[in-house]
Amino acid sequence: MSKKAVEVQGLAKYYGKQCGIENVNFTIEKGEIFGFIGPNGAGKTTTIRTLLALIHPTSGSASIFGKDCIKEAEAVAGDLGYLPTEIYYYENMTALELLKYTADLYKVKANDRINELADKLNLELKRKISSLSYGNKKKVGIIASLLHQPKLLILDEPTSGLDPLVQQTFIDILKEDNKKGMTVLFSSHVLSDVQKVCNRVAILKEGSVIDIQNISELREKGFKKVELNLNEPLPDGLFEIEGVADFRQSSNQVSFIYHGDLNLIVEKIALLKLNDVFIEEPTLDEIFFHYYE
Amino acid sequence: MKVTIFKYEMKQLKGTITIWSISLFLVILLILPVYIGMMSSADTVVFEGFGDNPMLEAMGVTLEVIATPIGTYAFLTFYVFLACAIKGMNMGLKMITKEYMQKTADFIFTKPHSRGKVFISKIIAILTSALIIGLIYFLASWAGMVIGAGDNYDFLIMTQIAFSIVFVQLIFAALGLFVGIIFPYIRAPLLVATAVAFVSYVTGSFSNKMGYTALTYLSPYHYFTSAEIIKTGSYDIGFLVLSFFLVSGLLGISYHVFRKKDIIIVS
Repeated sequence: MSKKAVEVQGLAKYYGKQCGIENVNFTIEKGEIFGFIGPNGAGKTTTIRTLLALIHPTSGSASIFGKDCIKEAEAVAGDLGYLPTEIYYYENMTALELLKYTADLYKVKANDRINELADKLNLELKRKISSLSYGNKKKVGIIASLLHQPKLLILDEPTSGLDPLVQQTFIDILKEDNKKGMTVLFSSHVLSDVQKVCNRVAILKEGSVIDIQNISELREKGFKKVELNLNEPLPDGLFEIEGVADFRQSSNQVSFIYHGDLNLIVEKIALLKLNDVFIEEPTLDEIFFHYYE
Repeated sequence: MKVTIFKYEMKQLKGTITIWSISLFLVILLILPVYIGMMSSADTVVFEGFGDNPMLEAMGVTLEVIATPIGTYAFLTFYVFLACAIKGMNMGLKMITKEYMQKTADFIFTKPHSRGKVFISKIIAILTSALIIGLIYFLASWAGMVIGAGDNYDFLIMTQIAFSIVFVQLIFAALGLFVGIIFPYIRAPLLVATAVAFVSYVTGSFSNKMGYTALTYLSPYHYFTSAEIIKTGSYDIGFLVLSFFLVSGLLGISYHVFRKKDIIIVS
């Protein structure tokens, strides 16, 4: 029995001459919550769809719990739960019918589990799928992906469409199931979402994994976007330090993105007389543009 | 085959099976006795009128045959073929395209059932649907013949003509599955099914009259011509074998492509 939950080696997918992903390599340990982060078009969904055998790789291999994702797709699918970005179900079914059909497809009796998750997520099960809002369809998707208690849960942009309260409930459910042994692959383009739950994160860009980091390291070196409104001229060279990128200055306004020891930058800012200061999380595109070119 | 998927597909088909069964049941039950009565009491003027009808020649039915109750039934069933071809092709097409157009392919293909099993479950649902409709048509035909002709017809020939609609549905359903797998994003399957069934109907119907007998092979309706069944008492074995290979070939290629095809959902 493989000790790895997921092993991906040299995975590539081309659509004609267009590259979807190229030479993707990573492993996920059992019980880990592994993040998958990158801007739109980075290859996250293509990699996930290959793991799910929805698309066939041009080259390379991927296995889940030691089973080949393509050759043993049927056996692999039994261990998986999948929550796609966009939720599309049979519109003429009620949420309950859809979830019971899902349970039948997984060959499990899951009435208690369905009710438990529906209560937690505050979902009305008797409503038709066609009458549900996007957020409520996503809740149906969450229950459908968890009702058979999968060994590996694959989430593609799971929090989109969910309000903050439901997002938190969902993350609590994830952490609870993770404690029971469930491995999670959490794909997102929202860095803060990944930071909340993941142990490690793979960073994808233009179809390749360009870095794999422990989330604790990423947090320590946290990416910050700093905007300062100064009450005095900026001393020359104050922010010419490692980790500062996209530095812009116009009259008394200064902005830059910082990646490194937060104490250091706070010390520098403390030397200035300020009218105002904003320190926020940069967008992923800003991070990628300046740090992963 | 997976019973869960089969049951779900049957549930989806329940509405159309009911509508088609009731429609065909009522049409043949109400029209057949009237036509049989009309044809058996018709004078020569009526037959002269029919003699100008190019469809009779296209169907390979003579005036002598059509004047009999079984001939009248065969004549009416030939028109039912067209409806069944549209039904069959639409059913085959929708069985595949619905998963792409409703974007539910991700849902069904990420469950622990191979694509091969999903495909076979869908085929069996189509087969069951065609058989139910065929059985209802057979029962209505039987009742219509008893009302219109009493004992004056061959039950075995009538049975074979009635169940021809199952074969027509299956051939066109196999074609529909094949087209649906190659072009899964067809937005109007009914329109495509109607066009294909009609072109095939016209091509076959006039192939004999135009002298291009080879075109008959493009028209599966002619694999089960009633004239042949009435004349020999059984289906044309050659066309029956051809139907088998045609359906097997289409399903075999479809199965192979379906298993290997990438599922790319277009937003």
